[in-house]
Amino acid sequence: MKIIKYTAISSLLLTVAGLGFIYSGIYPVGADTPHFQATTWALTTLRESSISRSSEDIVVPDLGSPELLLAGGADYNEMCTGCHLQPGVTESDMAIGLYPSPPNLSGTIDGHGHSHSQAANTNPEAQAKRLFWIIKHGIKASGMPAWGPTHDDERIWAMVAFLQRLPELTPQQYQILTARKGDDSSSHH
Amino acid sequence: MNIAKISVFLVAATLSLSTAYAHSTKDRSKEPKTPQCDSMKDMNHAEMDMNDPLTQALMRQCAADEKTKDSKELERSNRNPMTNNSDHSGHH
Repeated sequence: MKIIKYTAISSLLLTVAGLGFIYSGIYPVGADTPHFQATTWALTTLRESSISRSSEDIVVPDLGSPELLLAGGADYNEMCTGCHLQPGVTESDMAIGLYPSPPNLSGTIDGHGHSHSQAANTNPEAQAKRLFWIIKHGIKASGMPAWGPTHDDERIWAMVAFLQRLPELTPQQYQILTARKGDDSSSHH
Repeated sequence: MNIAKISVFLVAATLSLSTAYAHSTKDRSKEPKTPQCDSMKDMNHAEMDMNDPLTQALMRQCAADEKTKDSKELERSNRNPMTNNSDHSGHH
């Protein structure tokens, strides 16, 4: 009986302390103030565990087609380079100012400055699942939007196909792949 | 009751506007740019894997670019036939 009483009192005190901490505004939320290391570890571990679990049942289609690379490259160039950069570009205002810092997707996996689950580092299929899930659903409170509500799965898979090849592109190859020549209806015959 | 109707209308209007901003592939054509294929000419084509989708995509972009350049050249020469006339018989 005493144990139950003490547990209830302790829980109540912890809840009050927690609410007091939240409402006090003490914790700095500026993007220019990094988390404590323990907080970073907790959030990173939670993020990677959640993505791994949520993406494990995704079925990866065949991503080996030039059409997918061209389609994905165009979308990446228009929607992603501001944060995730491109070959030959090492920083941007968004990449510097966001916290957590968005990974430089034009570099190799290990050069991101982000920890990834081990499977994604070595397994292309796991990497594809992970990329697809992140692009489609985004990540809460990170600046990474969910593109699923505005882009169908086919377009997202095209971006995944492009992202898997992006680290090996030179700036010249990137420019060629992502160049668009305007509306075809403008040509005259 | 009026406030409820207005609220429903505002929410519906906001939602319908938000779907209008979905990024369409047609929006890509607003700022066209030409692929700079000169760097492809410097590449050793014998070493390129033609079965690689990346190589195929690069070749496709540059082949399309060559076709566009050729058709523009043809258009220009058709508009100015005099520039093609190399027979400059003397004027008296």
